[in-house]
Amino acid sequence: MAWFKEATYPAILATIVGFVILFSFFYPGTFLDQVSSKLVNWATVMICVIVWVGVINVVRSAVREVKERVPGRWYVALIQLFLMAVMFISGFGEGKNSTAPGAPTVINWLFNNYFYYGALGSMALVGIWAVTAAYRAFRVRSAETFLFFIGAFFVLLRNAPIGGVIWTGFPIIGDWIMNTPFMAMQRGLTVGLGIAIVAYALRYYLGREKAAYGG
Amino acid sequence: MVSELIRNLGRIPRRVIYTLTVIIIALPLLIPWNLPVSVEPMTKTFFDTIQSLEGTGKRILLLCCIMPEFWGEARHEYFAVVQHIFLLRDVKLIIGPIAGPPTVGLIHQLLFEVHNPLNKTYGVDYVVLPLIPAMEPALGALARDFRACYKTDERGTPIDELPIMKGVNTLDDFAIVIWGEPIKMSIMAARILYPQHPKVTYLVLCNTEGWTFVAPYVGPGMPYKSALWGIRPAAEYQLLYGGPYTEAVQYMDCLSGYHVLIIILIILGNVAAIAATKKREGQ
Repeated sequence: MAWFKEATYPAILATIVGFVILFSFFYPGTFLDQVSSKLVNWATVMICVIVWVGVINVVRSAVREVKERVPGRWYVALIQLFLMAVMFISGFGEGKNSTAPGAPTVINWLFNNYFYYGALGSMALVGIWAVTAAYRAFRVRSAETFLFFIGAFFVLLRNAPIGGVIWTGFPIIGDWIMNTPFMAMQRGLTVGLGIAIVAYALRYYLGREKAAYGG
Repeated sequence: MVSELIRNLGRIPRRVIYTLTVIIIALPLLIPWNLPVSVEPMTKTFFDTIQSLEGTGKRILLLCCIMPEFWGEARHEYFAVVQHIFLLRDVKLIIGPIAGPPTVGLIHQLLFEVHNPLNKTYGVDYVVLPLIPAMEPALGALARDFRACYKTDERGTPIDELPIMKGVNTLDDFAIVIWGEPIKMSIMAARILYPQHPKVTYLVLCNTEGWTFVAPYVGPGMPYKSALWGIRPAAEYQLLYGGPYTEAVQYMDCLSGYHVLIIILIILGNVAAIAATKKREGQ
């Protein structure tokens, strides 16, 4: 398998697969289309396997941190391993229907009361930080930042019902900002991104982009 | 004295701002302001598109990838849409979780909490398909051969035994496909699903952060006919169907207070900065 470690061969394989999928769009219902469908299904199956690779990597990394007593991290890794084990055991132990809506199972309880609120809480902090960030960083120092502030002012008041209560013009101006200058900018960005993807794909197919294979 | 006070406005301690934020968000929950919420045309289009299926027996496919951290905002859209579908006679809902494993748990939470007034039956009126833990390849596979992607539902019942799935072979067999993802993967769905099945009506659910990415793909002549993009459109939607679930409408006052607080703090910070600059220039 030494030959496979070299970046060239995986790159050739990926290029062939890429071309098969690309050209199958132009020839629907043909043999090429069937091959392409199979390849896409394989990719989905492979991603299912990759999830397990991720789990193994996380466990290996956490076990190493615990073994080496990495300062400030080993106990976090220990908690992580414990929680992973609990979720894993409860999920597998309670069977296929353990996550059915409202099922009184350990995994449902853990998901709804621990995992869900933990993730939600971490995201909610962003809302609090955004206020201090706006207060400390949003300084009008030039014409551009003034325009930025005006835009933010109208869009903030457009999105909140209080804007329309204060003055009916706020939602109208806010809508115009979102539908005209913002949309023009966003479409330009999207078109630019599309061209960049084509350029990247071309580099990939020509074997100039080997980072994905460690080349 | 006054100029000193103005300059101090630029040095409000962080703890005071945090406390103010919490108060301004909590206050409308205790004492509702009941500010009127107007309905945007986009939300109305979304509502009308789903409402038009009443009594037709047609199917809606809800493909979604949800992450718990975004569920706080996204849940209102999902609750509103699923609640609306459950309020309609003879409209079938097929839910297909994609990519993120937590999506399954959140879908279960949704189905458990949403009010089911017409006692819709699992397998006949709605069904949850198994998770496909992939994004782009999964969408590609679904677009090419929907039936090949699913052999059973998430409970292990063979697809062929489910009355709701009779006659479903491709995406074209759905009247509406609703794609739900909080941030920017909606672009991917527009790019992969729409070109291969352009006759299907596509709608999108995303968070406010995701709207900047999704907006160019929504509207007449675009892949998505309409979108719900956060708590405000969710509240509008809840007002439209007038169902039992109105949590987002209650949060609208919190949103108003929060946005006004941000604007006031920005203005205060800038007034203080201008005062400080003038003092420096005077010296």
